[in-house]
Amino acid sequence: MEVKDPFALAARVAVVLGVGLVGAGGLLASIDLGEVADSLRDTGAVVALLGFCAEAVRARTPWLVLASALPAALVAVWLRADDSETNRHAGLVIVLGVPFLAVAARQVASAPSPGASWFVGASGGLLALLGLLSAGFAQGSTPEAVWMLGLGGALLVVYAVADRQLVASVASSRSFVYGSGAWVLVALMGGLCVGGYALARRNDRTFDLTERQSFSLSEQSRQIAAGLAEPVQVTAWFGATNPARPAFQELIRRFVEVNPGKLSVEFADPLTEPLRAKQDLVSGDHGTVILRAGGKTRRLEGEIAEEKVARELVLLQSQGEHVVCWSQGHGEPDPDDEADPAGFGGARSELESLNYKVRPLPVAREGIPPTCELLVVARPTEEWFPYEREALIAFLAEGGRALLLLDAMEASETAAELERVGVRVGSDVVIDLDLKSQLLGVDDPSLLVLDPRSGAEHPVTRSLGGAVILPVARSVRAVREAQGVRATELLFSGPEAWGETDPTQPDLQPDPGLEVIGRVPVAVAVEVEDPGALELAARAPTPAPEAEAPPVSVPGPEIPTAAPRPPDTSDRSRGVREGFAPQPGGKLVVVGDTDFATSQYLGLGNNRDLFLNALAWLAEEEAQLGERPPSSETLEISLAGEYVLCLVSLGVVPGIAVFMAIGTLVRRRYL
Amino acid sequence: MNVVTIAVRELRSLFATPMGWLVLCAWLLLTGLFWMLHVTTYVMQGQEIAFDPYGGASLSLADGLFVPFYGNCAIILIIVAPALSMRVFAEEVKQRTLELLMTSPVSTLEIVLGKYLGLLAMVGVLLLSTAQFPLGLLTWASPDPGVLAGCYLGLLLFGSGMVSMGMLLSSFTSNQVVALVLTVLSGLGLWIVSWGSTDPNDAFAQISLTTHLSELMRGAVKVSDVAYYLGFTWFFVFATLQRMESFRWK
Repeated sequence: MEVKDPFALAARVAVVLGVGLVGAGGLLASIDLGEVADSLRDTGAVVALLGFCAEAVRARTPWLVLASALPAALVAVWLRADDSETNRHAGLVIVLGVPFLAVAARQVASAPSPGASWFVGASGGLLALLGLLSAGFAQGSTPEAVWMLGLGGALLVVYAVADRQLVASVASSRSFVYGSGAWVLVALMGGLCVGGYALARRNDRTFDLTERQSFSLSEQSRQIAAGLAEPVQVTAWFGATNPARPAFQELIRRFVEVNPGKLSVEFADPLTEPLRAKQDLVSGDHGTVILRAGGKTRRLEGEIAEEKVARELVLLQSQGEHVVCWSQGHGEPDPDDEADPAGFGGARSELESLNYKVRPLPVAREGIPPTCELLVVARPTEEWFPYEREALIAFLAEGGRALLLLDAMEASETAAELERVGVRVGSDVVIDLDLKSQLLGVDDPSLLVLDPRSGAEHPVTRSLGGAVILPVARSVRAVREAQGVRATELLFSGPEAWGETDPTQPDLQPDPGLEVIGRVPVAVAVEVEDPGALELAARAPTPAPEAEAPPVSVPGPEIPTAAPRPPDTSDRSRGVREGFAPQPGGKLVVVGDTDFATSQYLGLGNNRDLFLNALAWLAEEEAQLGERPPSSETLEISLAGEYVLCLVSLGVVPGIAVFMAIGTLVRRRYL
Repeated sequence: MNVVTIAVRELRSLFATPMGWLVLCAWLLLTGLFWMLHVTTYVMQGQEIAFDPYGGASLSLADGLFVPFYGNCAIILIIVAPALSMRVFAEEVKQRTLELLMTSPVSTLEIVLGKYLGLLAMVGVLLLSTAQFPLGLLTWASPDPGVLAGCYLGLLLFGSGMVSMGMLLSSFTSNQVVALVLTVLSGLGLWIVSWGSTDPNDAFAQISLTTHLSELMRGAVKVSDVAYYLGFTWFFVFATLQRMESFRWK
């Protein structure tokens, strides 16, 4: 294409380029790149003005420079001195709009060849397009977008007037009529497709094709959501850019889908509603969920999973709280002591967050009253009196629930009592020399790392996905021949372990016949099916009180009184309370270690879950017991298998395609 | 019926020359290479977990093998699909057979739909050829058929979008290479547009091709994701139809 006047062309291109730079600056300003934007706009304005001046001189209309470009530039500089955004935009509109208007006036007056004003239309179109993009980036109208769209539209109108003959001929041409119709249709279709997508998003549904139903609620969660007695209001505090927000949106949507009448959700941004967030005690954007129902409030923070939401819904609906009696008086650590890492303060906090109320219980003085829903005996270092042991058995025989955590080599006589309820507690320390069963970096064969799937499937261990870590455990076995009880061994050590009865000896070796060797059980769960089989000590009938003679007032020397006799602790019958009424349903969990539940170790592995699951099972809180997590799918392919796979994937099948290619070539060439 | 005839003809023409088979061979080699890399890595991860008592249930075939592998297949499709679609109309324009096509007693819609279905069938052949990989694993594992179905559905929808976009761009030029480059660049642009986005609900994340593929590949078929790909495909098919119609009145 021959260019008649390259200088005029260059000048006009400079105008368009300058306008483009101004528009780009406006676009950058809308995405908060203010400093770069200012430089671009100023540079663009200067380039456009110079282009105008060059074009005017070339067209032999220097008066345009004096009458429009220079005054506009002076006004713009004056407005620019004031650093306000409004004045800056006004300056840009003036410095670009006025010269363009002057050019348009000149074109109208001089009737130039068609297309001579193309740079006006190009500038207008470019500015309008950049204005649209600016609005898109800012996701709404901004002052930048408004003035760019406005000026761009105005320039397009100015072009239509200045080059009206060409515009008229194009507009009436067949190509334009049909073409613009096609563009409108395509734009409408695009709008329909976007609208259809938006509609689909608003009414989104997920079809879970996976075998594990990984994207659907578990049956337990569905039942919990469907069985809500009171309406639950969920407030989810997630910022717009919080990466955990979409996952929680999807999760809570599944719950709401089950029971939309009782479950409502509101998403709030702690960054845009700080006052309201403060009322909800939400600080920062860490993803906090508040659940409210009937005046009660529960909170979820951190990693929010389906099981946690289901558990909180259950806790929100539960009417009462469980009373957990924590035995005292035999050397057990105080559960209120939160400072001691070897104490149970952490466990107590966990229990209280799940509506369990912990009450210290001096068993020797008060016995085990029926008001104790659950009894926890954690690390007794002194032996229980015989009557206390009887009280424990009687408690179980009356349907009581107890969790016993017994350290190795401690309270062995008390531990031996448990044989009556099907539990044989060893006087040993479980040793495992297999490196796979030891804690990484810790050279201690008595610190056990246990696979929760090592025992039979049981509600206590079912939901444990990772390892349980027991520092210094003793063996705890089920007594198969015990009557009236069903005992299940929950956790086992590795196959190389054994129960060492003399851990002080320098050379630790298993003694066959004397010690439990290989897969040593360390925890047992018991269900009392026939309390009558437990053979409790008969309580002696209480003698009737003797009639006392009225006191006689006889003056005389004072007779020293004897010290009161200590209670007969060997009398087991004292442990069976008056009104003892045996009934089935008693439950017991015995674990051959206490350290796993201390503050120091509770957060390690799945220790917390083991402790809480044991109590949840005892309290029959099925909703707090999670589902079994899916087992790991490993691939064990031999080297030969890998070679075969490789050969087929990279050799045989592609080879067939190459063979077919050659066949096609031969056929085309020779047949 | 004309649509099917044109589609079959389009598919046959792809394999009537060695080029179609060589494209298939290149696809099989690339995907085979990725497959072996992913399988080897997965086997090693399984061995590490066997010695790690803390691993728990963290390894699954879906997340550890199939999703990464088929994700890589999608990236390869960004290049292969345009290679299939580049010649659809560009060659017709170059060979000057477009006028013959437009004057044939077949409507423009049938022509466009037929060519699109032919390209889609080719994408289907490519995807079908990768079925050998999960089938080959049956000796050692039981892949979740739902996850596999999601992966293939996602890739088919993705490929459908890519070929429809390639078809439109092919109609604007007589140069196949230009059509190829434009389509690849557009596909890559739509792939990476969400990378800088921090809000998964913002416009950039919503128009991105990857945003709508990831859940499908895990076996979660969301109505919105399917609607995105169907809308994407139909928009470009419709635009191609309008472009073809414009040849009649130009």
